[in-house]
Amino acid sequence: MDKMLRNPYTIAFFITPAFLLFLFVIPIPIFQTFFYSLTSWNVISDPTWIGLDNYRQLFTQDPHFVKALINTFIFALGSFLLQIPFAFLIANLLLRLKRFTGVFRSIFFFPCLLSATAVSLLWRFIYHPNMGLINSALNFLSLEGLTKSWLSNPNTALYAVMITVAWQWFGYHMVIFMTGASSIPKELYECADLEGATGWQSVRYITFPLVKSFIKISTVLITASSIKAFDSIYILTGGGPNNASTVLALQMYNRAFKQMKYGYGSAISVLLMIVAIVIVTILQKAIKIEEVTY
Amino acid sequence: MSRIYFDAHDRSLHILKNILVYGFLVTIGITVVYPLIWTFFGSVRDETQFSLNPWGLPEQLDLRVYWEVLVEFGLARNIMNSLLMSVVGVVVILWLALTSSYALARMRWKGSKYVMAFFLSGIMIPVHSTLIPLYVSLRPVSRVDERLALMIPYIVFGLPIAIFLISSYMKSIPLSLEEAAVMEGCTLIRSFFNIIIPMTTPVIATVSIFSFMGIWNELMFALVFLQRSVVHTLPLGILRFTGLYTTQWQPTMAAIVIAMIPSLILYSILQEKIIGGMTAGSLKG
Repeated sequence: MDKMLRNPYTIAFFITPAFLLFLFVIPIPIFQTFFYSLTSWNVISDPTWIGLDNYRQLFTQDPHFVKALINTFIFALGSFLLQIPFAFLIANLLLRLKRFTGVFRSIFFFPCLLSATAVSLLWRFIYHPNMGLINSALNFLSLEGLTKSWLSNPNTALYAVMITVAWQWFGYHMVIFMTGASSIPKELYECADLEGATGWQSVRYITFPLVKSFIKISTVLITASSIKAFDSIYILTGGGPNNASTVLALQMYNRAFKQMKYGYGSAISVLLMIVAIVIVTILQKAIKIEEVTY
Repeated sequence: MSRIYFDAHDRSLHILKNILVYGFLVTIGITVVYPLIWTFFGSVRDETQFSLNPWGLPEQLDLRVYWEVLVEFGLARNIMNSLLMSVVGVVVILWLALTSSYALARMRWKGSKYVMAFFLSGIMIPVHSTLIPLYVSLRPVSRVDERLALMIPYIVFGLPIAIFLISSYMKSIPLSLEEAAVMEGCTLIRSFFNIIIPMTTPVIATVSIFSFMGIWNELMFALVFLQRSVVHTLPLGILRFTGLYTTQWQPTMAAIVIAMIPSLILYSILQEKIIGGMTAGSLKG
């Protein structure tokens, strides 16, 4: 058996196809992106070497890029603030519910299975200035003063996208938290109730310590996906109005594939990758979790 | 006396609390479900009716628009493209992940740890950073068929998490089963097919769901790779309707509903499997 498990031909047969494919689709293109980012290139002619010029231009002459960088951070932070506390609250309510826990859980989870494209198109209708759900509801409540063209107002566009994304994903994180808390015996809550603990106290001292590591997972997930966010912003606002809601991935796409500046787009994509890796690493290190079991 | 009073007070407080909690949850439930129903309503009535009564029940149920959207706008074709790419993608991801996980989790060789770390590094890297070079280097394949070219990154992006999930599952299968089979003259390849693969079905289901959803919903790479509308996947297909956005709501909403139906059907049948599959990648990470 041991000899069979060391057979180099079997190992090669099993590992080589996946290894080669992976090598040619992820690591090598990453290095190519680094290389292209140091060139000026429109694909038709050959790339010309310009050193760090793309990067210099990005930070000193490209207000859209700076805006995109800031927006990406706002988007990540906002998504975190919208989704995590809310998902945690709902998870806690559901955990202590006597009936219909499963029904609510199923309903809240469902939107994350839909494509971001369909959800974003749907929300374009919801945000529609005249016939959209939000403005007609505001009109119905005689709050005409609050109606806005949500997606074409530079002050609301980015936040409108965040709400769409939160609508789609809060249930996902709620389920993660509920899974995390599922090992807590129900009697523990009853016991706490009998001892006169308030609802907040049981959450703080029973649920939170156990769910903490799951909150960390969700935080990392939300941050990583917000940094590379593309679909919902591309469809809902297209980065507009006038780049008010643009983000890094959208800038990369526009520069490379709309304006055919592949070198410049590559520089943005290098920075996108660096930002993603640095922030996720910091989060992983910064949030220290000690193991808790009941 | 005071004790009874206290209980009654407690009880009514409890009921009030329940009403508040359920009321809150139902409100959120409506916020989640109503937009979906609203879209369906919007797809079965024309815009004039819509503008008169934007959020009530429709007065008519006109399903002809679905035929138009599927056949005349060609959304049926886009669905077939998505289905084809997702199914082929899942099969290839499973095959590659099962074989390489076996080599990494079971077989004994120097460097297996490093190769594993190499694959797992793919989880961290935002795939967007590979888009430009991949688009350029896969252009020869694109000339044959854009879908084929796009399949390559789709498959590889699914690999790291699939390998991670499958190999950690394989490690938990006791070696003794295989040893017994080998003693009876079974080859390693046969034991892989007849023992290991059947035993990994739970994680195969998880990976299938995860990978299927990833390909089925992907937008950015599809936007770049698939130029002609005949090769569009479903997300690109429904995006074509944005041109109609200002004038015609009905077909666009029908397209959105069509895009949602497969998820809804699958979810109603395999709900727990799907919830498990979608969260597995993150929970074990």
